[in-house]
Amino acid sequence: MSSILAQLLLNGLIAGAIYALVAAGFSLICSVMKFMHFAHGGVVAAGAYFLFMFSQWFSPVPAILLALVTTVLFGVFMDWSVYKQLRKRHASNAVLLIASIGLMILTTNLILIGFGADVKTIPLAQHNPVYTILGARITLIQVVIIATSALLFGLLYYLMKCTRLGKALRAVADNNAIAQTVGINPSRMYLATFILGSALGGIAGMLIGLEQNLYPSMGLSLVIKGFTGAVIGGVTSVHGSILGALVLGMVENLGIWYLPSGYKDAIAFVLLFVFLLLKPEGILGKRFERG
Amino acid sequence: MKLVNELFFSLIFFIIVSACSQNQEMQTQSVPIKIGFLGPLTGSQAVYGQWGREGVEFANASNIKIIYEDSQCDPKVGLSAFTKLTELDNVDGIISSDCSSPTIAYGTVAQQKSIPVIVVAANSPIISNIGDFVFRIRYSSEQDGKALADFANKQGWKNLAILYQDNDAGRGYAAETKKNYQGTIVAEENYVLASASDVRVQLAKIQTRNPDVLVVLSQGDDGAVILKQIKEAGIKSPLLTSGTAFPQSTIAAAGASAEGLYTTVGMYESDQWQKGSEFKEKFNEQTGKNGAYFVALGYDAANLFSQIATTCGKDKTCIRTQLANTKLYEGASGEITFDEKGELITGSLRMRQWRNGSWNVVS
Repeated sequence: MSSILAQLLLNGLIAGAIYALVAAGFSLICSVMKFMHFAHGGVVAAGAYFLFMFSQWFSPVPAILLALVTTVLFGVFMDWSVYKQLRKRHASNAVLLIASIGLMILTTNLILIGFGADVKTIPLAQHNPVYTILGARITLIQVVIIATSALLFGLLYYLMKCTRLGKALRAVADNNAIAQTVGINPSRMYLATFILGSALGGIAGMLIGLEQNLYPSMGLSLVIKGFTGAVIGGVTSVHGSILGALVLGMVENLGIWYLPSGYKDAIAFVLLFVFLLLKPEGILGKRFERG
Repeated sequence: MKLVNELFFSLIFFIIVSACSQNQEMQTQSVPIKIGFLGPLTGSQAVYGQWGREGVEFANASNIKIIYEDSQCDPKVGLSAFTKLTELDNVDGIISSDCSSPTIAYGTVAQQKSIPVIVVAANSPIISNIGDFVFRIRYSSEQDGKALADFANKQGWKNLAILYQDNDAGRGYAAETKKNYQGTIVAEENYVLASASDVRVQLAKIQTRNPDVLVVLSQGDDGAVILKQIKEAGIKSPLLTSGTAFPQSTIAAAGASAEGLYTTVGMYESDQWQKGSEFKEKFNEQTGKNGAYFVALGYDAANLFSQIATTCGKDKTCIRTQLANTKLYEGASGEITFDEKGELITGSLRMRQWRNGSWNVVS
């Protein structure tokens, strides 16, 4: 029984780490820009597909770097071509939200046109040894996912708390108008947010692509889980989102051990509704100010 | 003089009437009948819609005009696409290269409206009972599930576990397998498509029951991930599945995790049907792609409508009757004859095993 419990906890940790990678980028953009960037799922899927494409031509390291750069450019292009134009027209958050859903659908269909509908495997993932820890089985890629997530979250914490850029981002997130009075350029911060958020999304996509195979609509299901994790942890807090995503992964995996398997998504959404009703700011988040 | 005039005008009248009726006849012959195509062209099940579409496009049936609509594998979307095809485009028949749930939704309405439907991909047993305007040219989950259970029985596997996708098709497969299996079902787990990328807990539950054999019934993209997770979980039981649920692209994506997998197989996939082999070769030559079973089925559906259109034109009842009377039609996917329920009459399915990168027929 102890090995089963260890396996369930490990499964929860793996699922949580995957959700957290998506939630971190989503929450970063949401906290600074103050809108739900659902097209982040498209950026995650783009990261996976770019790695698939470049790994056909290059060895692993250049393929990963190229995929990361291209994904960041893709995310920044989304902001420049759609959101920035809408911001110039003083579009409301509702308009930005609708635009983000449109971009998500567009990205899915662009992937479908470019890569086809069938499932793809990144060739780098063919050799994936399995290890046993306390009776629980874990693959090399899963170890890499957990380790990379931990490293990225550490770096993100350092960036947000200890660097000028991080402080400026937090200032814009807290109060855009006051941030401008102390000389912070919001446009630059928005650009930096999309670069960082898309980089996180790209890394998430590449790791998930190595773990789970690729299909055009993968971004949508991932961003739903990322969003759910972010709401649980606090959508305005990057660290809260990571925590929320880990909680979501654990609760889902432990929950369906006792409940029929079909309830897995129901567990996630019950948790989402409980938080939306009782603690909408999430575990670590701050309330959105009405305005 | 009056008589001459009357004769002259009568002659002109007959010439005009005759020309008009001839023109109408020519128009009937030259205006193609319209066939609606419904299937998931986007989304995680898009592969089934795309395959069917590739087959239909390859058919080059110039006397039928195909109008494509995306059902997204969703009954609501499928039904509204069907309504658009029937109300706005006035199609005379439907090719459904779709999932079971939307096919059941619009198949029922098609039956009420007397619109003939050829089902290419959906496999739910419910489709058999929709009515006499619905025809299926692939083997059903009833035939597939029976073949899987018969194989497990013959191998002497006493305990069986099932993992299936919780939709009409998955439930159909699971029900037919359970109905025909003579041993004990020790575990029955399912998953919904949205969470198909992670079935580790379901597998952990199955592992505790230590089954002699595991039947995995997925559709579309999720199969490869599930096979990988089965291997990662260390499940050693033999794996059985439907050949159509796990198409070759899934096997390729699963890589080494597919080693040892048993699937059902029809004549087309096992290269025992000469017309099928010729089709695969021609399709590969012209498109550079492998002609999956569903491509051949889409090709056959378009050709059947095209052939019948020359006799029936836009008469839907005539199209239905001609489809019902189809006997020993030599299609690319196999020989097509329908039973009284519009189901394909097929010989028994065989089993094959994936070993060292190739299939070996084992029964």
